[in-house]
Amino acid sequence: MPYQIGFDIGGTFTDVVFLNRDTGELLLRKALTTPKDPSQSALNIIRKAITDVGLVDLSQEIESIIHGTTLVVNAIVERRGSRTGLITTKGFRDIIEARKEKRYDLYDIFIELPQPLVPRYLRRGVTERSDERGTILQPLDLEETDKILKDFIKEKVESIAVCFLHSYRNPRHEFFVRDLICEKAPHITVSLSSEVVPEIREYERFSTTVCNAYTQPILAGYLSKIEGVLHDMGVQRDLTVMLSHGGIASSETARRFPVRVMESGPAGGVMAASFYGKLKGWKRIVSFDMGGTTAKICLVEDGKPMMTNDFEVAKIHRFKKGSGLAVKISTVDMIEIGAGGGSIATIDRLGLMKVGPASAGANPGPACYGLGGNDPTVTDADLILGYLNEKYFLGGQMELVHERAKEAIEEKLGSPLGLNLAEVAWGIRRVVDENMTNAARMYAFEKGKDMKAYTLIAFGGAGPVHACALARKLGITRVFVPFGAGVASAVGFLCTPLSIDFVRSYVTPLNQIDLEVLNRLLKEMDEEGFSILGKAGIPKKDIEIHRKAEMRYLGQSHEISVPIPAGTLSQEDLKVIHSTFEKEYEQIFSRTNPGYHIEAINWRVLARGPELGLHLKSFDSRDGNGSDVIGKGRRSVYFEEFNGYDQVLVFDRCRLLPGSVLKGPAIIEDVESTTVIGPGWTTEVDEFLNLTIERED
Amino acid sequence: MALNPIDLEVIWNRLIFIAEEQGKALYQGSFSTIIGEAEDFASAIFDAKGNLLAQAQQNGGGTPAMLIGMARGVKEILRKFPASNLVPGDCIICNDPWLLSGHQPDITVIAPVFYQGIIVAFTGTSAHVADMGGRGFSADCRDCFEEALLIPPVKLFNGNIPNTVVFDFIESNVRVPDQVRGDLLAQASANKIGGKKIEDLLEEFGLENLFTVSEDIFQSSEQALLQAISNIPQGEYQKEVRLDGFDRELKIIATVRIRKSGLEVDFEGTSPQIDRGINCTLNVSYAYVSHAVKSALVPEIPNNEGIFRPLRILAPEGSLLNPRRPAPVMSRDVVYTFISAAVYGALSQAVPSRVIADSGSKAVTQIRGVNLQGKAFIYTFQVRCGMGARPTLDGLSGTNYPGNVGSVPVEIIETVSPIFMVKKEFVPDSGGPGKFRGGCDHEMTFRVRGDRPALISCRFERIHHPAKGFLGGGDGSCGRVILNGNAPLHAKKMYTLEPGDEITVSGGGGGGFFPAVERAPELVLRDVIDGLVTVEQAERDYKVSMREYNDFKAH
Repeated sequence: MPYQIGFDIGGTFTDVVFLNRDTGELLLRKALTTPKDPSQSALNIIRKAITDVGLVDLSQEIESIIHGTTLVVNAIVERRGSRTGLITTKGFRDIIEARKEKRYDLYDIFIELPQPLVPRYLRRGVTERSDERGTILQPLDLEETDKILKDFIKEKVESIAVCFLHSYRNPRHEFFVRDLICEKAPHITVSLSSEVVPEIREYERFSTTVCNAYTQPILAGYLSKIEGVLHDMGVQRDLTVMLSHGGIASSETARRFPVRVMESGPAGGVMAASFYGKLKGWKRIVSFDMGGTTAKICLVEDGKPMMTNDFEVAKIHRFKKGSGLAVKISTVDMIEIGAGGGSIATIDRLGLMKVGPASAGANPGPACYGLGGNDPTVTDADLILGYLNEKYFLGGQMELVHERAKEAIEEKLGSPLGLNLAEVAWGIRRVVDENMTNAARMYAFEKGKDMKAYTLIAFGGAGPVHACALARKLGITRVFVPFGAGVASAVGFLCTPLSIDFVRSYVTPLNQIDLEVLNRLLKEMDEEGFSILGKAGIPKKDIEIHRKAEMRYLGQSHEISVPIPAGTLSQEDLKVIHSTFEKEYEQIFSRTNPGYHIEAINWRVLARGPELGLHLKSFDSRDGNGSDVIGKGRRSVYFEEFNGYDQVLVFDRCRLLPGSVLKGPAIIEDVESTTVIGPGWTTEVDEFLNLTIERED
Repeated sequence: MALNPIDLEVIWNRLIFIAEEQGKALYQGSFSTIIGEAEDFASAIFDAKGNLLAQAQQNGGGTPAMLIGMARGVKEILRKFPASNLVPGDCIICNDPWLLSGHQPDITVIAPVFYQGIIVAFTGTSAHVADMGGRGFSADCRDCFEEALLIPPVKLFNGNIPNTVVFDFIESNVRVPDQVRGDLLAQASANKIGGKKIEDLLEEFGLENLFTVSEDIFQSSEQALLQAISNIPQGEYQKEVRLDGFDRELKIIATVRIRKSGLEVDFEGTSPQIDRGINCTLNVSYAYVSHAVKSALVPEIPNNEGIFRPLRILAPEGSLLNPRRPAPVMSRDVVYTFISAAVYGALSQAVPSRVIADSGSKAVTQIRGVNLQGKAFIYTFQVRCGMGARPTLDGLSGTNYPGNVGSVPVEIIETVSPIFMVKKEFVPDSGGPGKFRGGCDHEMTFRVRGDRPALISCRFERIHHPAKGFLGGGDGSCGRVILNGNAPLHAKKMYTLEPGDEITVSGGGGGGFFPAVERAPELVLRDVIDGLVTVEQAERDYKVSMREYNDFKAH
């Protein structure tokens, strides 16, 4: 009985999934995270699940164990990282504080920025300098470096970030500093900007490296602890960790590059959506995860999520770009919107209704939770509109109070706006759906994509409630709601291949490229990929290499990502790259700029292990003929098409029969969520009890 | 409101997002670092009469001059191009400083949006392109003809067909024609994208035009601002600020009159225009008044025509803030900091909790010459200053205000130009002392590599007039322009840099807020430890004994 275990430690909940690879059976567990020592809750659930499943010989029965965690992000947000020092090129110690020297809000005179992770007195410049081609103009002053190190030791610095200008072209000076630290102060961890993110643009590179240094000791201690306990329990397989780019890696890689672990949970969700897309044979997918506070949207094509290298952590204003610390890592490219079940509806000073980004969270939560919350939220509106069942929220573990929702909406919104209860509830719904639609459109637009041809895969507590409405606004005609959507991230871990990615900056016009230089750096990255995945036990023949480069027209500041051929590149390949660039550029901007030279900036290599097929257990259709579906009766539900309420059939997800077809309007209730199927949509239940909901265009 | 508050919210929000998408398209497609890295551009949607409906905030929040200058200029431009003269696919280009944002490198492109055969809106983008010819980005020209090419409102595209005459004229007059053409095409393409999205919006919401929507947006915004104004005690508040000027001191006097019907700012008494390029056309003056008033009173309301309605701005014709043609105006951005300072200074007497102390002067400079490969280069980049302190917070260091153009990374500057950065660091004791300290100045030292001389345009302010503190706060430090570590240069002239010459520039620290002695001693100590405040300043201005610090050091 080979088992795979995935566990995701989030800020509020820890999710654990056990997959029996022989039968495809999934065991799902959810518990509150223990904030003081997040590993504790996870290990407790794992222990309990091991007993529940009846595992005896863990060394044989556990095939792999994959972990995702918000620890790194939380350490930065809550400032619980290590005491960190920065050694940088003399004259540039304020780069991480001056940032891009731009205000993220033109009109807010009370604007604030996150404090740098390294206070100024622990940011030290040292004499050294390279130019943009990596030529050393001034040698590193080792004596100065040594003096700084002594100071740092005296200051009880635990981790050091080394960030020199142009080190992405020539890392030698950074290596020298590391050698010195290893020799003189081996207890201090070191992060080099040339290793963490060897990319041009100093603020982003320095900031990322500082985040890495700041969280390195804490993540290392945490992973060692978990590995120790697992080992003591008899698990022999090494712990692997989900990374933000949608691949998993050894815990060793995670220890070196904690910044790569930042978005592991959300990346797991996107990987789950990719998996379901592949399962159903759909090439183009929108992953839509809507929870209590935010909605996250990500495009996936051919099983591969869109990627970005721009990420920010610890934003002062969660949804304002530029208000956080820059982290240049490769991450699944998700847009996060302040739209969740707990998003609060208010009236602004113009007399207009706004929804979010403030959220009532879980406590006190929406007014209908009856936990003392007075603010009307999206969940309150969903209840009033009949989408949610007050008796069957979280499978009946929690009762929603209709009266509270009504009071909150009428009092705070209805009376001042002069609208009735249903009008306001429907209004909340429209505004929140519109907010998500706008953000999703903007996101797709930046990538030159039109979402109409995509399938929306919805999960998270509120995702299936809003999926059809969002799809309609986006012109999407197919929605998919997987079974067990509540622990999608952890499920995603189980179908994610091992992979690792690398980047090098080599800024040059294509027509002046030195093929020798380029081939050397591509080969270096290929080799590093083979070596890291090889250590994880993947034979070379099973490793796929994907290369990409960021390119632009000479003179532009914004690059697009272009696939690069494998192997040693020739002049012929450069021509191919040239035409691929123009094709991709046209796809995004609907035009090219003939006559302009093309310039490459960063070169990337992604090394991937083989895809893991995740075979879920299927349900047979018993003796039902598809139409024989057990209903839970009818209730009054609001739809725009009705121009009000009408009686709508309600079904229990767990009692649906594979092969059934349901015509909307209908409501399908599940333990973690409710799927709202609008008029004009038709739902088909597959053998895994997933729902495919389609609309005639 | 004619629409219900939910419909209006939904449509309004969509319009803002359209402006954002349009801005994003320009940003990603642009060809110069000043747009692509420093984000000096703007994107907006106008109604069929040319009133500002929505503007991008995230993608193109460049400078108020650009945003508001464009908003005021569109109506004027449409006088030359009435609806009957426009067809789908048209694009109008213009850079007239009097009509638009006050200096020639800001190029505005406007395009009509047709729906069911009639014009329902206009899209507008404005971007600071790499060069507009003339003497470049300079402060010491005698008139606007010497400064740069002036483009009157003309069609850049005639029904989707590029007007090659206009392109040829422009490209023949600029130093980097490829970059400029690339930027213009990126603008036209962005406008087109915005237009398409507006058509989609009308279709989706079943609207024939945007008349009702725009009037609702304007009226509700206007009401909100009027409401906020009515909370300010009525009366007259005056503030005089002084600046370096070109070779003698200039003054700006702002009289803010709070009335029931609105807010009036009168610049009577302000210095006359001068024969060097720092005059602010009325649009620029208007922009910085509007920006300050909106920031103080209704910061969260999206900018639109309704926010302009309660404002009245008077500036004597022929003054620094309303110069007559052909005054030189290229470097008006060194003056607008002072417009803002005067308005906030006056408002501080009425609403002290809603203002910001004076900020340093951002330092933008342009260098041109021949690069290491022997090709012509022209490069504009910026050094920051300290932002003024707020009534509850320190000022941000190395961040300019009220303009909002970002910096270009050192590694990018060195990759695309022969400039070499020697240093870029905060200056100790530069932030004005106060209970809330002004932001620290950000000083930059650089030289031009190679064996050929290069031209530098100095365009700096606050060399002699520091950013003032508010309500008892101390002044920030002054800025500097120094050659080779010891020779001060004229802050607004052009110089030839010989190979190896090093130049140091900075824009000054921000003013403090409330008296320095009220600052928490632990914050003073923290600044001393961080090297932002010296022991001497801590003892002199903050009256904090540094015994503790000495203990700390000994420890």
